[in-house]
Amino acid sequence: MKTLQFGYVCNNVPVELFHCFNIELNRLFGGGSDFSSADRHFPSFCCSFVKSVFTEFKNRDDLDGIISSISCDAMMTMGDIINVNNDGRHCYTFLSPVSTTNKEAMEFYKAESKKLCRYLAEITGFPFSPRNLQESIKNSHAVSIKARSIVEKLQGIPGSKHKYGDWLKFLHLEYDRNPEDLFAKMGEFEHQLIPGKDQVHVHRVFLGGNIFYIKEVIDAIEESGFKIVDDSFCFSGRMFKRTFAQEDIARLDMLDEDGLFGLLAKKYVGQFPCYSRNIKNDVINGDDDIYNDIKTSRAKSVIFINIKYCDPNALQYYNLNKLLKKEGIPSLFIEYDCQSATIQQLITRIEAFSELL
Amino acid sequence: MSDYFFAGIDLGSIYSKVVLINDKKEVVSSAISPSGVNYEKVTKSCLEKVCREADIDKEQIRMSVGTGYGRKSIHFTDKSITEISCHAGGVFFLYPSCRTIIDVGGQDSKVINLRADGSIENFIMNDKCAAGTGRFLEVMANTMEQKLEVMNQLAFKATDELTISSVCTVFAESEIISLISQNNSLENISKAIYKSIASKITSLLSQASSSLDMIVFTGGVARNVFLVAYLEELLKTKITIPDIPQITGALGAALYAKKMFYKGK
Amino acid sequence: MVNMKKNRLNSLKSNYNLNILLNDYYKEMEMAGKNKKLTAAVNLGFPVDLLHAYDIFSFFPQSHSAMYASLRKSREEIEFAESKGIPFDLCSEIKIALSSLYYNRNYIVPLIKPDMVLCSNQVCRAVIKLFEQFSHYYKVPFFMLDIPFVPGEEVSEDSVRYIEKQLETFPDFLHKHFGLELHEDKLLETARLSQEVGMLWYEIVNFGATIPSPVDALDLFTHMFPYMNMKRSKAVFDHYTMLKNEIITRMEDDISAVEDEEIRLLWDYMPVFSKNNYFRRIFQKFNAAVVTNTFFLPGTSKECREGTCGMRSDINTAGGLFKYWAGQFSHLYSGVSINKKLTAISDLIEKYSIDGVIIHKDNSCKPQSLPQQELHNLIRGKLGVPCLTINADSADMRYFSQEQVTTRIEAFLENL
Repeated sequence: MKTLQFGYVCNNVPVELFHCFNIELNRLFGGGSDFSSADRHFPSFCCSFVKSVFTEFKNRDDLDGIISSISCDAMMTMGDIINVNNDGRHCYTFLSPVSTTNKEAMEFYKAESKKLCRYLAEITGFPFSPRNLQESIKNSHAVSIKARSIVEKLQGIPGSKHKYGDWLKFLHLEYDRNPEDLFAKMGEFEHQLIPGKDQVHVHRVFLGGNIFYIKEVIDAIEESGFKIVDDSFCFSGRMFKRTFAQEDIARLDMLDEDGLFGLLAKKYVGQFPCYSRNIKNDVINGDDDIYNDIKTSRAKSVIFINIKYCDPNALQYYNLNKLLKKEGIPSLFIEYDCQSATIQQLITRIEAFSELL
Repeated sequence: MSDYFFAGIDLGSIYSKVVLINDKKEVVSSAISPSGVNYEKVTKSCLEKVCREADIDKEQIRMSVGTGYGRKSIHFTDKSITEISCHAGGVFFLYPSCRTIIDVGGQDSKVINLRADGSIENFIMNDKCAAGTGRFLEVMANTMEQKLEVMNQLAFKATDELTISSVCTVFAESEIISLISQNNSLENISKAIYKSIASKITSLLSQASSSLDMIVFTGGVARNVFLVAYLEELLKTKITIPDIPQITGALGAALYAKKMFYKGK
Repeated sequence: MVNMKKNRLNSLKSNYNLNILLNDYYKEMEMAGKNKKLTAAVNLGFPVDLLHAYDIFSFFPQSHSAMYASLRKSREEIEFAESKGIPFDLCSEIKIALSSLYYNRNYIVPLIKPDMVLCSNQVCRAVIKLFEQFSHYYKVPFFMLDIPFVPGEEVSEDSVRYIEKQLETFPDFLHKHFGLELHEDKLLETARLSQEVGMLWYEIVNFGATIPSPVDALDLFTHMFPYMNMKRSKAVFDHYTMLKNEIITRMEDDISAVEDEEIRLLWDYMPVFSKNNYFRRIFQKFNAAVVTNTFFLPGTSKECREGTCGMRSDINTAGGLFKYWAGQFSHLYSGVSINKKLTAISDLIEKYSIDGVIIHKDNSCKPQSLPQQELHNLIRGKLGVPCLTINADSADMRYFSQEQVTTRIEAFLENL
């Protein structure tokens, strides 16, 4: 039987479950230049990334289905619209809680992932095996740990041959591999990291925001003399920063089915937050995940890239910026619109920001 | 010594500007020409024009710096620097006491705050939307079937306060059409158009928390005398306009070219 | 033939009483701020009855922007907010609320400091950010009521259980932070009273189904506020009784909202408050009446539409009530799939003999307007009912082009 190919977007989807059923996941980063089909379904002020993902899914015949996740209002609507205009492919809406800390949210996530599991068993015809889930949790954990160790190396190596941008590009390209292959590829990437010559004029910058890999923007940042030290993008920093707890991995073999789903809930409900969720941290007083990360990365400035029309993220920046100002950390806010190429103005802002520092 | 010349080329979205300076930082000649579609060609012909006017050979230009939107599309310059830094450099050279620059061009409006040493403290640019830019003014003037110079004169004679509420250029256009059809005078409508731009500019100033002590207004839109007068009234401060407000970016670029030349030497 | 009467809008006399009621509400709010009565900032999708049972005063921080809009004061507030760097694309309600929070701008109706912030994600997620700010700024406890989206037609049991479990923790939240005790009897009593107000409201909106309609839905909309938020006092009860009686009298006297009603419209989403009279005039010109609104009956279940979703008499414990509420809140119109919305709209079209649907696409409210384009396509395609979408904004008139809207509505009504 052919391996099923599924598209997905947000990282609150428990990818481990898909690996259990041997389903190949394709993270959708959007694509296509013709948005006319999306424009027919979405209003003009809808997040352009969502339109772009919608377009990509429509255009990709190789995908057998999509897992739409309820992360933000726009993603929620996209899943809904794909559902309404069902073209015969699988379309599953995975509900995940908005709350990030409480017990009830964990229970809900557990219930929803069990439901997803039953669905996957049904469409693939494979029975669910807890042993497979143990295995895939282990693999996914190893990938996250490896990813963080690469970032730490990239932070530490002054003037390395490899730049942070290469890492983002690597992730963008290799994302869809199964965890074992991805782990091996990451190993190769890590192996190539050799300390380069020390650069005097490096300006450590932290990238915040909710963007995917945009070559022109990342290149412009690095060519303007910035050294990227960390990010909070949902396809890299946010994805790997919170993984399973080490002690849970150690006792993995002792857990029953329910316990394993509990681990999934713990990881995904407590993961590094997407700002469309309820964050219990207090950004006004300095208790904020991104802010703490900026501090840890010893970045001297912050570039925050927002997808246009993402309100929660823009609001988060507005508050974060107040805090950064207090600390004297300069920051730049730019908005990217997938639908209209305004890259040039963004590059001007990035370059001017670097000239200013 | 006077054999050394430096060129600054500012490729804007609508107009290209070239400034030639000599070793004593004096502007020897300048040129403005529509950018068109072939940036390389336009800038080359501009360069030839300024050289002819200055009566020098092109080879005497020791170094050149490109700026503006098209800065990456011209290959013969020695370096490209953003128009933000160039405007800052140009304006600070002309007015060392300047702390705030308002620059409104064809596609962009921006506010730049300067420190006492001329370095940039902060800058803010408009949203991608055309409201509050030169393009907006152009569209509105076309809708009114008036030349911009005339619109300025009309606005001074306004008797009533009208407001254009739309933020979007297209909507604003239909609002103006309806104002016209309601028999509002062109004078009053002209003023309303300028008021709408002015509110965008004051919003940028406030976002950048700019000092209002010494403001220099550059870019083509600064030539709208009514807008300047209205802004002065609104901000309760004097606004300085350079003789040729469009070329400060190119001037800044030329100054950078000179600085680079001597640094390298 | 020009009928002079047509220039007059046949507005409800009860509007006057509503103003008194609202006035008293804001006075009470001011007093609550002063005399240390507990206050809670809430948003739609939170069961306010639960608060009223504890004598907690509830208010919507964002509803002030609607107030601003109807007083035509919102523009300066919004421009002020933008000049302070509050993101440009943000919803105008949040802009106004934030600028008031951080820059001490005086609300026309002053905003009081809440003692707690109770947030539901039912309508929108950006508002969670606003509420987090309120909580952090005032250093008051935050409670999140997470209401899951309904992806298909059916509400899942897991979702209902999740809501129920969260509601169950709320008394502990109040006990922990304020030392409050739950009085089960009072809670049930409040719920029953609320039920009665709900039934009255149901009867009132149902009058719109009469041909010709005695009441204009745009006129009626503001009367939702007491039902949505205010404590079920005698004054509230009296208000709805009065409103109901006024409409009955109208029907007896053969008075309709629009004279010579020919076209019956359904309005989706909130009205454009500051332009309400403009809309009513333009509809009147075409003998068109807006007879109902998708937000009038919050639930999307069949029972809600038929008025049989009431609280069963055998519910006699707090737990039972939470379970009931969880069921009710799980399928509110603003949080369900396009298909479920379409079913609800289809019901309304039939029940209210609708000739055309007007969708108000609110530039500010992204979450609610995102599915509207698809809804528009389906109403026309699947239901075969003419549909018009107009672009506006509930508070920011810079996004409202009256000329364009007039042309669209006239063209739409001419062709009905």
